Amino acid sequence: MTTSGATYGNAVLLFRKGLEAVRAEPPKSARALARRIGAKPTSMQRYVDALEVEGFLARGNDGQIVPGHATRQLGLAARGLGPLTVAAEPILTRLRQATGCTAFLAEIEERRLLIGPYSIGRPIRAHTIFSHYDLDHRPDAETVECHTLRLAEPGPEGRRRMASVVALSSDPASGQVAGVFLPGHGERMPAVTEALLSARDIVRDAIGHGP
Amino acid sequence: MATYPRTNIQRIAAILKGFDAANRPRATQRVLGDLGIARSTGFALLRAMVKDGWLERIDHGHVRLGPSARALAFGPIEAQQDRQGSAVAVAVTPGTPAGGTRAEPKGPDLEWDPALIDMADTAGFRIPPPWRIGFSNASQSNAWRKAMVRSIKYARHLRRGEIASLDIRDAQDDPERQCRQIDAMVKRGIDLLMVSTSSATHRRLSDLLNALAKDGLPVVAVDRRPNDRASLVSFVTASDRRIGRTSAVWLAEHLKGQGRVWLLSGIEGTSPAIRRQQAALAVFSEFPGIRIENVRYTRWTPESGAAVIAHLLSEASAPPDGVWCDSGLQGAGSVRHFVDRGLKVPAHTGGELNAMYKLCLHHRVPMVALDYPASMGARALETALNVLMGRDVPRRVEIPLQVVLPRGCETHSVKADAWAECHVAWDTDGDTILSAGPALRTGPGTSNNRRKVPA
Repeated sequence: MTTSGATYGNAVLLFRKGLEAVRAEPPKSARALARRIGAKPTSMQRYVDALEVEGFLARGNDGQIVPGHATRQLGLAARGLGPLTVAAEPILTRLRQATGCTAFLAEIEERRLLIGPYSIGRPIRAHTIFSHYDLDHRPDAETVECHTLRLAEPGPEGRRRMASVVALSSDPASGQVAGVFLPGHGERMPAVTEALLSARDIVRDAIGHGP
Repeated sequence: MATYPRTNIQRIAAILKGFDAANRPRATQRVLGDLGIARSTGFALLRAMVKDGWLERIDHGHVRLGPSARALAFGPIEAQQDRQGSAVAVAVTPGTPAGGTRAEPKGPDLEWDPALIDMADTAGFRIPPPWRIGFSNASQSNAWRKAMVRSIKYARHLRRGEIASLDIRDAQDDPERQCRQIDAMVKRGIDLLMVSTSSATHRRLSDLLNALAKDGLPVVAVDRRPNDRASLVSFVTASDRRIGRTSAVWLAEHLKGQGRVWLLSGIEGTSPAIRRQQAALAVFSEFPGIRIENVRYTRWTPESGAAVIAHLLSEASAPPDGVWCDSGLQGAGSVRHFVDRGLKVPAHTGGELNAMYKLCLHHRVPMVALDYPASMGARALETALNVLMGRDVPRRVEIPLQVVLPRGCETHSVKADAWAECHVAWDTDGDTILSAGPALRTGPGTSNNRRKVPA
């Protein structure tokens, strides 16, 4: 690799390592982030400043560094869910508020559910949200219209969870869904289903997939 | 004159943000054209990004966002953290059915506003930086408004390279004064007007904003807007309806559907006060056992809250069962007055102010709070800059709200997103607004205060 190639390679690596570290556990300062990823504190300060301006990083009340909204927007655009970029935050917030459950946008890819942005609901204690879950089977295009999925957490010891999802596109084969993790009992199902269907209608209207 | 990113990290960010929402492939020549660097060095950067998965090659000379970027979609949209930074473990407690009868229980309401996804085309407002921005603030008469201004200043500090001037005027809740101040700012020369209107219904103010918009000045409203929103490119706010509705549902359910309630709103005629009160009254009307005895206005200050409560107590035969406040700004004064008089403090609503949490927790007053986020100031400035960059922005930008409750105060319908015991800042002044975002810190940025925001 040429000198400039190595320089750019290092910059890209720093970009990745910094974002990964922040996403894994928000550091309290640029200095703490530098310690964690083995970078110079001065470089890391410039890094944090630059990415805070661009919206990739943000500051919490106590100064901790957290992922910014541009991070999620970029991820959604890269997944082809860009038209949902604007709607994702208000939709998921409202879904969570209406159901009390953790709400998410996701894609069904073969026999995997790839989780995107999510809003943390109450019955989440003792649960970690994983970036993907294995499905027993890929739901049929027809049934994913509003469907309860059995999810397996990654790994051999992964626990089973249930989620209810609706297809966001009028073409359910696209695999784009909105859903909520179910709290483990069925008493909220009618309310969850109603909220999901409302969200689906809003999203379809927003991205031009309405009937 | 175009400004180009100067560091490699800025260049990486600029490349990634250069793709559209559909991730359509872009010609590498065009990507590099946005960076303003030599082709050879630019290609080296693109190669490094492709190698690391941030970009992927699609066709000859075209790239788009790659798998590393796709992974960024996974993440929470709000950080649920306590003040020590660890995740809040919100206990799952079985709901207690409301004892009172509610006229007609309703299914989940997503309270959707189509403006949230209605995008404003701002291409016509695009001008190169540095920009001159005017902010006509309704007032700085209470702690929340001061915190909102600090939030704007924090954001301005971050973007200082692109902002030539930020002119902030205080209209002191006087719409006529606000009109004069806006005229003066426009005369002096601004590229964009941010406004928080002192009245939702003042005709001349509304007409003035419409005239400015017609003349091509972009207007972004924050927190308060005129009823006629035709002049606005975007409105940055939080859901006042949700604040009013949720707090009223909680109070009605806490009282088991039976009791006398006094309503303390903010400033009469302002859009948040109107919408919160309307939403609350609509909820209370569903509980036949709830009697609304008084609806009064305050100035969103503890002093005015205390004065109104003192007046009402002097007229009433007995203290109420609940006091619905559309904000803790006056709620703290109300609670303080009950405490000072040695009376049993009825259930209260209203957040924002640290003093409200301290008082309610210390005196075990049942309460619910939805902090109206003062951090919307920073988001408004960011929206304003996006307008000047010609990027599409939503007609309405809504900052999420959290329901904050003391432990044991949940009701059948209203559950805590955060516990008041974790939310309160015992070691901080009562005047502190807890929803100010990073501007809450005295030395924003780093421990060595190198990025201290000017007062």
